[in-house]
Amino acid sequence: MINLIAQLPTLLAQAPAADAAWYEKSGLPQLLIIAVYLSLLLCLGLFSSRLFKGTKEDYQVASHSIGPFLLLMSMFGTTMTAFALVGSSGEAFREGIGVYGMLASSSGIIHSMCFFLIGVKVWKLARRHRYTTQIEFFRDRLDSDFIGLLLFPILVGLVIPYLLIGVISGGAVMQAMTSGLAPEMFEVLKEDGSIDRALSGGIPPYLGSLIICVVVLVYVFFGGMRGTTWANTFQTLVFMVLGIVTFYFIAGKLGQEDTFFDNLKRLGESLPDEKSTRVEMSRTKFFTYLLVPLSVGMFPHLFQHWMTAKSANSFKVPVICHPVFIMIVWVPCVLVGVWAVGVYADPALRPKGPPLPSNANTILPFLVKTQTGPILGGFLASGILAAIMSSLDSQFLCIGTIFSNDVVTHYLGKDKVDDKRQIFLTRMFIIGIVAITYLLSLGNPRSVFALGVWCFSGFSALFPIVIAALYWRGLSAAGAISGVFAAITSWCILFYQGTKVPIEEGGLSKFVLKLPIGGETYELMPVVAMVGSSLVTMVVVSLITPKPSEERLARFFD
Amino acid sequence: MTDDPAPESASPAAPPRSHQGAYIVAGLVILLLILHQDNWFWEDDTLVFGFIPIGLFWHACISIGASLTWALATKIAWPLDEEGPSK
Repeated sequence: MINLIAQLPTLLAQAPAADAAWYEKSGLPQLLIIAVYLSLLLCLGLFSSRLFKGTKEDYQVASHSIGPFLLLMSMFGTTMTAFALVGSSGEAFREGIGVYGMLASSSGIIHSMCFFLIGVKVWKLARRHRYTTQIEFFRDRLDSDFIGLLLFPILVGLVIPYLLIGVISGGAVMQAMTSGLAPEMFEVLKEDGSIDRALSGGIPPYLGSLIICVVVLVYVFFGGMRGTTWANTFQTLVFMVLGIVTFYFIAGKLGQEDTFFDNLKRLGESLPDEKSTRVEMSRTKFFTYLLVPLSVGMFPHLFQHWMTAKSANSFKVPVICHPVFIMIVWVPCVLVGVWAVGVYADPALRPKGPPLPSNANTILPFLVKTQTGPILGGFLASGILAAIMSSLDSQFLCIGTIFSNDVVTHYLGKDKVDDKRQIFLTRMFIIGIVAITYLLSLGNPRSVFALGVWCFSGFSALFPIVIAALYWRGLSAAGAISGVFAAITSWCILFYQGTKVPIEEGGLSKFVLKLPIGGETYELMPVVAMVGSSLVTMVVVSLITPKPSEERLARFFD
Repeated sequence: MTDDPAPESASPAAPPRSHQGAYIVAGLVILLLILHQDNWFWEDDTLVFGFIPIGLFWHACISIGASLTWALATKIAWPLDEEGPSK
C-alpha cells in the first residue's frame, strides 16, 4: 500500500498523455475515487473516537445511544453484504427474476419479524441484566456455563467464513475495478500465458484485501461501536444511492432509446421467458428457502447492534423500513442481471465490445466497466466496497467482544478485569482476528464462497433456541444444549453430503434434499432438516429434564 | 450480570395488554407468507407497466406489504409499553 501511495504521483504524471485525458487512463479514476472514499471512512472513524467515553459499554455498544435512523442504517448495512449488489445480479443472470422472491422479499418479511420478536425483547433483557453478547444472555437465562462454551466455537466458526468472503471479495473488486492502472507492475497472466486484460494492472488482491482490512481495523479500533455504526450508516447510504445511479446509467446504455421509460420497456421486451418467469425454479425449494433468513435471529454481530439502541422505540423505524430498503437495493440489481441475458442474446441490442464473462458474479462490474465511464466505475467500486465493509466491521468488533467478554473476562472474573483492560483486550482480539482473517485470505480459498448459504443455515438452525429462550418458560438447559448439538450434528451430516455433489453440478451450494412423494420428487433446502432436528430435540429434551428455578424464570418473564 | 430496576417493562399498575393486535399482525404475516408462494404467477411472463415481469412486481409488492404490516405492528402490537431507560 505504501509503495502504491508513493507511486501515485508518478501514475498521475503519466496520466495526461497527448491522446487521452487523465480520467481516461484505465484504473486511475477508479483508484482515486476509492482512495477518497476510504479516506472519508477513516476520518469518520477517527472523528467518532473523539466522542469515546473510555468505558467498555461505550466501546462495545456505544453506551446504548443509537437512535432510530442510525440503528436502521447500521442494521441494514450489516445484513446486506456484497451479495446484495454483485451476487443478486449474478444470481438473477443465472436463475431469473425468481431470486428476488427467494432471497429478498422473504428476507423483508422474516428479518423484520426477527427484529420485532427477538431484537426488542433481548434489548429489554440485556438492558435490565447488562448483557452485551448472546452468550452472556444464554448463560444467564439457562443458568448454564456449558451453553456458553458450546456456542462460542459455533458462533465464531460460522462468522469466520463470512469474514473471509468479505476480505477476498474486497481484494477481487479492487483488482477488477482498477485494472489497467499499472500493467507493468501488476501483470496478470491467463493459464495459456497471455495477458489477462480484465485484471492486469489492477491492484493485486493481496494488497487490496490488506487495504480493506487496515481501513476497517482503524475505524473499528479507534471508534468502537460508535465508529462502526457511523461508518455503516455512511456506507449504507453510499451503496443504496450508487446502486440506483448505476441502474439508471446501465438502463440508458443497454436500452439505446431516448427516454428512461422507453429504455425500460425495450429491455423488458428483450427478456427470455425462462428469466422473466420461474419455469426452471423448484417451487418447494423456493418455499423452504423461507427458513434461511431466520439466521438473522442468531447473528452475533446483529445482536450487538441491537444492544446499541437508545430505547425500544428505536427499533420501530428499522422494523418498518427494512423490507422496503431491501427492495430498493435488490429490484434494480435483479433487473440488470436478467437484462444482461436478453440484451446479449438479441443481435439488435447486443453492445459492442467483449462478450459476457463466464462468471455470473462479475456481470454487474462487467456492465459498469464496459457500458459506463471510469468515474461511475469508481463510484460503483466504492459502493461494492461499502457493502462489503459494512458487514466486516461489525463482525470484527463482535468477535473481539465475544473473546474479551465471554472467554477472558468470564473466566478471570469481572472484578479482575476493569473497563480499561476490557477495552484493551477487545482491541487486541480485533487486531488478532483481522490479522488471522487476512492471512487466511492470502490462501485465496475460493471454496469459502460455497459456504455462504451453509453459514446462514447454521445460524437458522439455532433460531428455535433463541425463540424458546425468550418465549417458552419450559426450555431447560439440557433442552437448549441438546438442540444446539442436534443443529450442529445435522449441519455436519448434510454438509458432508453436500461435498459429494460434483462441482460441474454446482457443488456444495446446489445441494438440496430430495423428498419423493407419490411418484414426484420435491426439492427442499437442507435448512429444513437442520431447523427441524434442532426444534424437535430441544422440545423433547426440555419436556423430560428439570427447568430453571422459578426465581430465575421470574427474571426473564414478566 | 447485575440486576437493575426495569422501568421499561410494564408497571404493576399498567392495564393488561390486549392480545388482539398481536393476533391481527400474526394473521397478516401468515397471509404475506402465503402470498409469497405465488404459484399463480410462476409461469406468467406478463410485463407490468411494459417492463417489469409480473413475478418480480408481485414480490416487490410483498416487500411493500411487509413494511406496511410491520408499521401496523408497531402501532397495535408493540411488545413494550414504555420507553427504555435513558442513559
